[in-house]
Amino acid sequence: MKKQFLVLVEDRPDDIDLTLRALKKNNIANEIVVLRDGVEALDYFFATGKHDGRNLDEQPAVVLLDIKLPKVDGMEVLKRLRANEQTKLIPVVILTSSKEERDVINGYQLGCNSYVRKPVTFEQFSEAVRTLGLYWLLLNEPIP
Amino acid sequence: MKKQTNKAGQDNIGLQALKESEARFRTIVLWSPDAIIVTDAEGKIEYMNPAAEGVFNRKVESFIGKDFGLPLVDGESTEIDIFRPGKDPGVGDMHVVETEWLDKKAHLITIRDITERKKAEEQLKAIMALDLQRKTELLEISNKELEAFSYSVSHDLRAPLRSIDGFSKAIMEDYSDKLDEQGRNYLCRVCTACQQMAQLVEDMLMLSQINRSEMRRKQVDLSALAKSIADEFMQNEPQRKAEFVIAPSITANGDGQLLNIMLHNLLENAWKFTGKHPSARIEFGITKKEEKTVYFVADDGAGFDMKYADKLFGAFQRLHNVEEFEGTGIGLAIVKRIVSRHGGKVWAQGETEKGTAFYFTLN
Amino acid sequence: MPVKYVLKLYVTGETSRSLSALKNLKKILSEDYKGAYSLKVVDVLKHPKLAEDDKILATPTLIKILPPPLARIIGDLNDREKVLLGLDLVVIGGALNK
Repeated sequence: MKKQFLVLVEDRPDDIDLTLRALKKNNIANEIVVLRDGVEALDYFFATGKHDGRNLDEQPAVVLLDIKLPKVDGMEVLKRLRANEQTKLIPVVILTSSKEERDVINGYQLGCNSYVRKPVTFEQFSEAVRTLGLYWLLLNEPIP
Repeated sequence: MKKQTNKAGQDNIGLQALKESEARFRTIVLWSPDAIIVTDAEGKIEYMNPAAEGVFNRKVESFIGKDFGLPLVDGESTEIDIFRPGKDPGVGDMHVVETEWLDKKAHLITIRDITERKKAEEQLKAIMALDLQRKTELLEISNKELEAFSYSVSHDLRAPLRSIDGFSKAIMEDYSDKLDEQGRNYLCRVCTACQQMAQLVEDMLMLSQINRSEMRRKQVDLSALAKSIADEFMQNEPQRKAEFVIAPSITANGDGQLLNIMLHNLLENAWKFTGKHPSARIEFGITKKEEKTVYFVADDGAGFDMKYADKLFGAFQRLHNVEEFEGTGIGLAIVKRIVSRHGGKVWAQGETEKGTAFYFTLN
Repeated sequence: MPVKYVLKLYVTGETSRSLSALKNLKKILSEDYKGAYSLKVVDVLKHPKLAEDDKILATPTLIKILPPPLARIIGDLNDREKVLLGLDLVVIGGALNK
């Protein structure tokens, strides 16, 4: 069975560390790939630029995507993911900092996603992935 | 002989007196700067004084016997536009009195040339209007800038707050065994302060949003809103003995979302400040004040001292400290903003320990 | 046969007095006089010669040309009663229904 991993797209170091801590404490996934801006995210998912030559068969189980990113923002990344055959089925959890933001995103109607209000806590994460049907992510498998 | 002389003498004195009297009145009329016109009952001109020539820029002779018209005034006098060919039209103040001229009904018309005065008035009005417009524009710009600043600052404060709160909690969870009681206490207070700040930021953003959002007016059932808010409170704290008296079928024309927020804040206020009493009675109803519909939310709780009445609606102003009653003091400021946006007014009446009533209009 | 009123109102451009007179007159004609009328509005600024010919001294001046007798009112047309009286609009067998 392929190793399941997560992708976290977030620019603020504090938010990254707190999220990693929350997930790690609860044994969520083995590997979390951190991408720090919209360009890096697109490079990763489409194996271009910095991630040129990446094996595109390896896609994450779920993507945690911050909306406010430098260079290319989260909405744009999401649009591109949804527009591409290879990536459009990857579950995405959108990280927002307000209900207002969430309402704006809803307006984009970019397919069924889940939302988590920052800061990402374990509780929030569980809720979000349950909404996406990814229950198996919550099974506390011991890290080998 | 003596009698005759006396009569002739008396006649002479009489004639002289008459001549002098006539001369006096002639002087007044001839030298008056205002136009004086006498017309018969139908408006035909019997007499026009020399000043009229200046006022109308025409020779008097051309007008005797001609029709001036039946002069109509509203009250004491009326303004008219003076037609003077060869010159710009003037403005006159026409005063009319019904009198008698040679035993026949006549109109005595006085026209004062107020062209210059009118011009000066118009200029002054124009200057003042321009000044007012400029001041209003500046104020609007200033308000918008303040609003944008307040919004962006509140918004930007969220991220660092997240960090402080997140890492404080992380230390609490992961390193509390390495801290003594005091250390844990300090950390706890950092967390609490952080929460307070986060709440303040949310409040400011909420206040800001109230200002920025577009109003969508429609008929709103306020009784229904009040009932559902009351139910929510009772469900959250079922142990409280409280009675909600909500008058039925109270409606208003306004933005449903904003009115909901407003009612929520008012009822929450009442709920909170009756919290220390064994039982509470909170009422929502309407009354009339000088033909206007006035809504009210009243409670029999902690009340307040009327001498602080004008501080009630200030943002973040509180009349109790945080140990007595929690909160940031933004609730009533939000109520005031919403009421203002609807064009209404809000005011409060209260007495310490006797309860509070908030009254508001929505137009 | 219904009496047709022929009226001429002299005004001076768009001064407040001119606008007010026009408004008042129209109100009276539509509310009090239900019969036929023809109203000509003359701006003394645009047609000074006409005003001079009619020997206009000031505006607002309202002239009733028909039916005879000729009548002229000058000043404020705000007082409905006075205007009606001045124009002889209280007519027997006429169009006025008070």
